[in-house]
Amino acid sequence: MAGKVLEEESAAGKTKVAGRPPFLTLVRLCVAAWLLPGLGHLLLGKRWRALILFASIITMFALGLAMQGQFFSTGSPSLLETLGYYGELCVGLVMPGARFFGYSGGDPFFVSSDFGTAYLIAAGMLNVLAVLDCFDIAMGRKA
Amino acid sequence: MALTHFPALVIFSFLVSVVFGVLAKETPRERLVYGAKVFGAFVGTAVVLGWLMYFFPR
Repeated sequence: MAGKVLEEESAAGKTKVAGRPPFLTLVRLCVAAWLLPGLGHLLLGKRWRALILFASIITMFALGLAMQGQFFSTGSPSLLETLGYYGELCVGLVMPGARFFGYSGGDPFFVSSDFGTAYLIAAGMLNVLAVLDCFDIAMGRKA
Repeated sequence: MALTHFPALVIFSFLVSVVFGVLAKETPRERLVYGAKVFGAFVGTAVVLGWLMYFFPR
């Protein structure tokens, strides 16, 4: 990155890049951003971005539930279904939250179920983008 | 909630465009313009592909 200045930290000869947050801070930020869509941006002070991301991703997930989208599991022999599970899990706590509040995984014979499944997985994928954006902002690569 | 394909597509495109606009650009105006372009591309591509598939036999 242009403009970054390297400085020696201690007699051990370790170096660090000025302005880069500590590793644990980055980890906590990314975990927070994953757990609740928009939380990472809120912690970085980007309130409007946090609100828009939260509203969009949660709306997409909620519409997926309303359309009886399918919840996948890791116990499936199908690789695609296992990937689908991890895709849905990327949306954070709302997925286990939906299970906790009684969503049993959708009705595959419902007319909009396939669309609902796509919505659920896409919500997870959008949250991954949000986490990566949060990381870039924390690293100083973006405003 | 039962949706047919086109409304599901439009709503999906809208939500994805909003997120893309917010993440990809910096100023509100740039975000709005970029989000609108992405939305148009999503829906336009779906319409074009739909018409291309019209000529395939059932």
